[in-house]
Amino acid sequence: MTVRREWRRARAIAWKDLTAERRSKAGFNGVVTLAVTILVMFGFALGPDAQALREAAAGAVWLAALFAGVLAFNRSYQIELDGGALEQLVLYPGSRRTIFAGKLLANFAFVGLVLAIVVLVGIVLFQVQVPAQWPALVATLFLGMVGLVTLGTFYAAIASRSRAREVLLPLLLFPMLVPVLLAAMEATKALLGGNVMGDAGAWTRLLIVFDVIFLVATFLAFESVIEV
Amino acid sequence: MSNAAIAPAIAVPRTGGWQKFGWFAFAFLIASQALAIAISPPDRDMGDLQKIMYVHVPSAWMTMLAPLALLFFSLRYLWRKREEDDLLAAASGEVAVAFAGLTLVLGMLWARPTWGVWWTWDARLTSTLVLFLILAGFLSVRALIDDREQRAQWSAAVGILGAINVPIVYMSVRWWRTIHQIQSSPATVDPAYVIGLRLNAFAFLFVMIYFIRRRYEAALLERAAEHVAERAALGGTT
Amino acid sequence: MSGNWVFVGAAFAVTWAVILGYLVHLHRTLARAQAQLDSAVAGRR
Repeated sequence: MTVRREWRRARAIAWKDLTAERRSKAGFNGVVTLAVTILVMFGFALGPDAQALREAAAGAVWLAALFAGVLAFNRSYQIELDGGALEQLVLYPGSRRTIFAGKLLANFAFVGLVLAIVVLVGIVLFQVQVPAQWPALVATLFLGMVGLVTLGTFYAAIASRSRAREVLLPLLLFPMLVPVLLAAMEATKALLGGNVMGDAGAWTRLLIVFDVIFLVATFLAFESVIEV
Repeated sequence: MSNAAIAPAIAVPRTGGWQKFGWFAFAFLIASQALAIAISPPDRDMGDLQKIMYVHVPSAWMTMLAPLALLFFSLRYLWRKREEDDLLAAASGEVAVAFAGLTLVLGMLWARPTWGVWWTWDARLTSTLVLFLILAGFLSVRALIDDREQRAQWSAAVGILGAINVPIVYMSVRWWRTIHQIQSSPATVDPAYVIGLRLNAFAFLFVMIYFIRRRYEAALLERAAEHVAERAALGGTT
Repeated sequence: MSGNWVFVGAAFAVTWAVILGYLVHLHRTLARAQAQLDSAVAGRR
């Protein structure tokens, strides 16, 4: 299958997932509300001292996105699971990778949007001053989101098809996310603090490396996961 | 899902040679431990605490080796799709969890008298904890998935990704520690202790190999029992 | 430094507990699997 056709298939799958999502607006709204609620809970846990909140902001934002993202990842396979459509989808000619690519794209959009909202709310709740290098911050958030969504979409392919999906997805996903989350949180923390020590660049570069590694690894492994 | 389609019955293992190996491994372990404790002088700084090294270090080394075995067998399963490799991977995973847990506890027993706290977020201890959790995830997949082929494929994928993530986790945690300017104390081994350490390392290795082999044998027996039961259920007598 | 002997002792105790414990686990798993096989073969006849 040519690259262009694969790309079109992936986009079609992504569009299907996203529009099914949009039709049930409860999906997106629910996840965003949950993420914000989690953020508020973190505020109670870590505050009310402004200094403590500012230091914890990066971590709290990423964790809120992580916990809410878990819902999104499992649900990205729910549509096919409910209708028994997964076997059908796999039978269509063309590589299984386009299925993964399509779901990745849909989840990038979905979780990316959730993350953006969480960051904005976090800046307010945790009394963060928007740094001058906010474009760098946006880039870092995007890169962290890519790593998070890549691994989340992959493990959800397994977890969503087991009986204990609510437990299995975090159990599998969270330890695997340690490198990505560490890099994303540290880079975010550094940028929010004005990047005094200049660490942000190093962590961001590390994040890019991690993203590439996990994208390649999950694409290769997805074949084994989806064919059974 | 018809699993009786796995046509040739898996051979029930003969364990004579391996049982002897087991006895040898344990004798060797006892001897190595006794020898190491007897001949090693107290360390200048650590005193007698140094002797923990003879269990902690070999245990840590096995915690690194067992996932490599898991990686190897998982890759081989995906390549050749032979059930033996799946069962070997599962056995390696179970033994790996045991050693990871042991290493964690030993690390804490070392940390407490050394630094006054039961836990430090230092690179090695933390990476071992994350590895433990990754392995727990692997075992959960094996426990929760009933379909044999799904279980084999998925645990192979999970095992491979988990294993290759271990050095990545270690590296990122170490960087994390360095950024926050927390010095980790490097553990250099005084030459006086090397022999005791090497002996115990080999002893642990023999024990680990024995464990994996025996766990694999148990899995083979279970599989053979399932095979017999399925054949009987499908078509009467075999 | 004699207080450290507690920790050294505990370390060796835990190590042997885990190793012997896993041996027991192995023994039980093997016995159960063998019993499964025996009963399956017996049930076949």
